[in-house]
Amino acid sequence: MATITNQRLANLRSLVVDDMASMRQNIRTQLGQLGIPHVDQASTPDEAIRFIRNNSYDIILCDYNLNRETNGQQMLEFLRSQNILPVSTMFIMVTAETSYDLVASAAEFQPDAYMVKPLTGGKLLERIERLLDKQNALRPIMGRLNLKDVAGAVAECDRVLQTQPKWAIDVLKLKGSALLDLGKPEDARKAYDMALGVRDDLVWAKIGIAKCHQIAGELDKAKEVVQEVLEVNAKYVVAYDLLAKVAEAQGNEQEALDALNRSYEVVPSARRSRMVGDVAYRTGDLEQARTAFDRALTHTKGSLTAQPSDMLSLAQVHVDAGDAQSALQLLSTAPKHYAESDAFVATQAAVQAQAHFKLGDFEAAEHAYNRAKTLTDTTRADASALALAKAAFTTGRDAEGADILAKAVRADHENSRLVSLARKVLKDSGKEDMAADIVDQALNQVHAIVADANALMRKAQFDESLAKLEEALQSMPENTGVLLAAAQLHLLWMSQKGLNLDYVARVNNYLAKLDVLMPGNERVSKMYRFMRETLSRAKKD
Amino acid sequence: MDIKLAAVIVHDIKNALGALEGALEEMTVQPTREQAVAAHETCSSLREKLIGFLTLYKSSEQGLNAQVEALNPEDFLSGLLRGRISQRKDVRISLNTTDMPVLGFFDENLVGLALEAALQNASRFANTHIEVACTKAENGGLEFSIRDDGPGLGAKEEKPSTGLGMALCSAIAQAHRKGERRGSVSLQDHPAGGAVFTMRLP
Repeated sequence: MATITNQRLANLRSLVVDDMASMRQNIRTQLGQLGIPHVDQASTPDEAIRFIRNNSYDIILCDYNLNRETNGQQMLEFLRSQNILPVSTMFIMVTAETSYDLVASAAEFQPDAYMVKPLTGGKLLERIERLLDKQNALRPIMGRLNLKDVAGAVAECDRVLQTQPKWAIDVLKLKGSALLDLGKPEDARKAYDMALGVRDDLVWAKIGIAKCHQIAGELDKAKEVVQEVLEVNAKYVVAYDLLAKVAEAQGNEQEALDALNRSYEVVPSARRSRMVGDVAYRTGDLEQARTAFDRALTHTKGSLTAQPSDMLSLAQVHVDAGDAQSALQLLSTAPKHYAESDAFVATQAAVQAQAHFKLGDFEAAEHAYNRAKTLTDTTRADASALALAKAAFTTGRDAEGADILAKAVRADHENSRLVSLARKVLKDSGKEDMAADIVDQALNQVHAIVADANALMRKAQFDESLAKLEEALQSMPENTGVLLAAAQLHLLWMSQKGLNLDYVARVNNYLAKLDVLMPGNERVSKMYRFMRETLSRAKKD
Repeated sequence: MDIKLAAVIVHDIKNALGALEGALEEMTVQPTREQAVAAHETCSSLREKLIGFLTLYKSSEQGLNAQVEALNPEDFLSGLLRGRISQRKDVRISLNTTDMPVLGFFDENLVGLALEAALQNASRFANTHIEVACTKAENGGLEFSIRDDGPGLGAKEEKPSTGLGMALCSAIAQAHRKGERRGSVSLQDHPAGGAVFTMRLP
């Protein structure tokens, strides 16, 4: 085939992932003939992940069949769920002609395109150009979303709908989800209805409508829509997640667990198994939690996709199930590099302390507990704090356990999973009677601080109000509820009194923290919008 | 899958492979660029046939599921025509964009495979021209058509076709389902001459 020179392609950086050297070389030659000179090659998922972490690519061409442990779809799942893949990277999954529809129909994380082997230069060129066209058309929307300007993105969606009708379906999907992020279920519903008006069997639009019901608090209606979808599309895994969320919100934990188990049958991935394990553990189904975490560990063993938390979760399940020996055995197999993380070592030591104590080795328990205590950052509401609290109760340090737990709840009092796990620690330790003193009181304390700050603000005691929240953040720097309240009240202050550069810096700092603590959260998006509005008004004044 | 059809197709592929082998043998003496181009074309058409055969086999063994996506039919069809290696340089293929909808919902990989087979078929009969079109069907679906300016149906062929192409197109059309409806294909004489292949998708 003749060499095609195309300016658009000449600057693209690409990565080819295939276990067969001849296939990689073949694709590399094809890309070279299309005028794409920069082609990196990876032969394993781990190698690919390293490349992707250290470089930025415009195109990734990945073969579905990689090796026995990980296929292309699992690698994509890892990249997307860990936010390693920039949205601007085009990920093309290459499959054999016989497996293509099976791969695509059960895929939870969609690549930008599926291509069926054999790849020819002409086919590649055609697909890459079409993807570039799409990227160009959607760029104004994605740009706004990158800036967290979700409302701006919605406005761009409306504009692109007018000017580029051929991307209408993609745009309506983005618009619906942006409106859901903004907490506007009624408007989101209109976008989904419009998409269904074009084609009445679009599954994502139906699930979008179910989410609108969920946000509006109409849980039964949400469930009804999800179940209708699953009757026709039993492989649509996202629907099971929504079903599980709705069931959990209705307090029906067994139903949530069933939904997640069914999703695992469709996509038997480590991530899905982990989700099953988390819910099973929270609901006290230790047998199922053990199977699920064990599966997650086995799936990712020896691979970069392995998550240290799986090992810690399984070890804690072993201890809870009365098998302390297995917990110790498992933790002793931790890969060396896990020790580089304080959070891992802290949790590991906290679980070891519980296990040693249960086996009657009090000296080892003491030693492990002290190590865990030194390494645990108790201002954070994370797994290591909860494990340390559990170790404290197990080893008879009730007062210390209570203190750690109260701090953890205060650190992130609006995190319902954390609060329910904190209650579980007390229940498992036979200290259920302390729940009111520890958990409820901690919740009340933080609620009171936020309420006081709001009251001071209403009484126009602005500076006292802000000082109150700043002080609270000293002892609980990662409390999302307090961070949100602090951002809001600082912005309110500025909307009354005008721009204050110190406060702008503070709000930026709060929002940056919130971005890390709760990525993609709708309340954080709203706060970003509030900030932009406040700042643009302040500038005009 | 019908064993007789399978045998006929494998036989056909074997013959084409034999012809390719002969051409390559000739090239071992004094290869010319023309010969290389012709061998490449034969090879690519053989591969298309094998993919068609495997897809048809899969359809009869496990069933085919169309992965329907929203696509712009004009982009899709012009991409298909552009990337195509044609064995009939004397036949011009044009895209008729009259009444072509902005959006269509279909599986581009499968429909690409089917239309490629239908184009191969049309180029065997066409005199000088093939026209490809896509319109909205009455019930809201899509209708792809490929019309040639050949002698129409019933034309005598030196080497009769195996029927692989039509069987494949039919399986791919039927893999497109919407509610109770399924896709279908037909091959008819066009009132103004030549034959027209139509693929209707729900």
